Amino acid sequence: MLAQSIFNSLALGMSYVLMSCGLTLVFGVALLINWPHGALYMLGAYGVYYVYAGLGVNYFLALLISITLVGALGMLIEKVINYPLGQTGLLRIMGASLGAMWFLEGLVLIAFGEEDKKVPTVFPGKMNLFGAVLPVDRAVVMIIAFVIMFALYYVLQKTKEGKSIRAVAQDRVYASLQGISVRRSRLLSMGIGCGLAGLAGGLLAPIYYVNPFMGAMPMLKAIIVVTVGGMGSISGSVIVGLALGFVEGFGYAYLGTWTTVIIFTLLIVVLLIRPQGLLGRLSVE
Amino acid sequence: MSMIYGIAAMGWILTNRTGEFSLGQAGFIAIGSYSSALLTTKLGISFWMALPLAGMVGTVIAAGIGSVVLRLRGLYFGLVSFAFAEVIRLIITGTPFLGGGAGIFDIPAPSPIRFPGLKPLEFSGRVPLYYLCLFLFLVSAYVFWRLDGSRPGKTFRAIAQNGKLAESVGIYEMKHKVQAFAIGCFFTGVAGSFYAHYLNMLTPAMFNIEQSLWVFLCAVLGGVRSIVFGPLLGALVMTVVSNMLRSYGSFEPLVVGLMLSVICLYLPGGLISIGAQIVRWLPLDLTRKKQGEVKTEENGWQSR
Repeated sequence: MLAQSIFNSLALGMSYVLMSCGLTLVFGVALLINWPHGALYMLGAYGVYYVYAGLGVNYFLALLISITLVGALGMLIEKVINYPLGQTGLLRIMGASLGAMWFLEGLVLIAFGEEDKKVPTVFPGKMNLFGAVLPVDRAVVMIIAFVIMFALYYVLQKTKEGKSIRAVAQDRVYASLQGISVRRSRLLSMGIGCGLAGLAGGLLAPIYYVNPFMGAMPMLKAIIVVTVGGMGSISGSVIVGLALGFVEGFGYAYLGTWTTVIIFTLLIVVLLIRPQGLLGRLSVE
Repeated sequence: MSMIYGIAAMGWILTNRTGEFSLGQAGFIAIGSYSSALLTTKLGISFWMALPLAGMVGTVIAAGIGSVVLRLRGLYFGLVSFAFAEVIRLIITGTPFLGGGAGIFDIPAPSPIRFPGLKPLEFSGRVPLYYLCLFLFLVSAYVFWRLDGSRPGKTFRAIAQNGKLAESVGIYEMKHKVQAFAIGCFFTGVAGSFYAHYLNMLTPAMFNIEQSLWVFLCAVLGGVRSIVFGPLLGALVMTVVSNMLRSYGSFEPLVVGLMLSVICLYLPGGLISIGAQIVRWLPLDLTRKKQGEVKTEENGWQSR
């Protein structure tokens, strides 16, 4: 029972981590919340639904296609909305990107209809581990998520592009004085971040149902994780994402609906005591 | 419907005048409508008493929350208010006394007013309720208009422009921010109260995140610079467009989303500024001449 709860929480937490890492990456570099993130998650899931379940392409290839397209779409959003409106304040960016979110949801709604769609499981079967029953597909998702997190860590720490992204997140003025193109770093981080959202959607599509409005809940959770963990802090997102998975995994088993109340109250308390988040260092006016 | 959102959006703009933006107005609509519904169904108080009382409840809660939470700025205040709205909704869902997830039903319509010597004024159908709503809207629009033009309104704007500078000339920043938030939430509560009696029923699901965003978007779409006409226009357009499209099936999110994006991208002042913007786009001789004149004047001044 305990091992089962731990596995469930871990699987839930890893999906939050994937979502919120993309969000926090974009926030760190561009200093804005990427509101269509949930819609991009949904698009990632629909991409896999269409290419893998509809056209019958190999699952991993479908996942790759889906991530690439969603990442490109994220870059397009950056080009059309976020960058041109960058100087004009939060309100207009929020309005425009919420509009983009509804636009994407509406597009999928018209193309696929509003009913739940099921993507056939890629890895059927269950396995027993430490006395807990663990579906293989969830285990695979967890492994892929771990691998991706390490890959992201490597890219950000070691490659030139990753370093430039981190430099811009630290101080955009000094970064541009060093010859780093802030615009390019923003575009890159948006591509990576949205690609991560697409990946999360594509990975979870065979586990859950696919629906045009499926992005709202993960988006909400990702905002909570990113705020508590510290906006722009990837390690904060990883830790808090996993923690949220555990709070929910155990909370729903023992407390029921009040878990969500507790989570939101904790969010308010954290914001009041440490507005920059537990591991954050950025402060936004 | 659009009037209700219009009132709520005006309340939002008043908070925004001090430079903060709230993403949790649905929470205050919920507070207003639930307190009004409870007062009328459980205690048997008439609608006319419950309406201002609901606003008062909104004010008190907003003042209490605001005096703690308004210490945060910008995005962080937005996020806290957003979390607060969710907490309110979840508490309502989890409390059987408040109707739980199923909601409250049979909320009475406003009771008739009797003037001596005249026929009683009935509020049973949709049409009288519409006029009542119009009346409420006009009253709150007048209050907001006067408030915005008077000393408090100017104080709020001064805080938004530069809080530290405003403090240096003796404006207590926190006090005025809480004031603006509380007054805004009074009218949001009133709008919520009317909403409850208009629909006759309430469920917590009506006050989700989308509702909060809707209030915010009405204000942004209409234009935040004008406190009365901006929200009215925004709420009108949003409600009419989404209601019209709902009958055509699933086009609603697509069109509303597109409309929002385009307006936010190309109309900096919101819909209210569309006239001025069109004039700027058109290559009119009139405007060119004016620019030319201004230029020569500048040159003349420089050469002097």
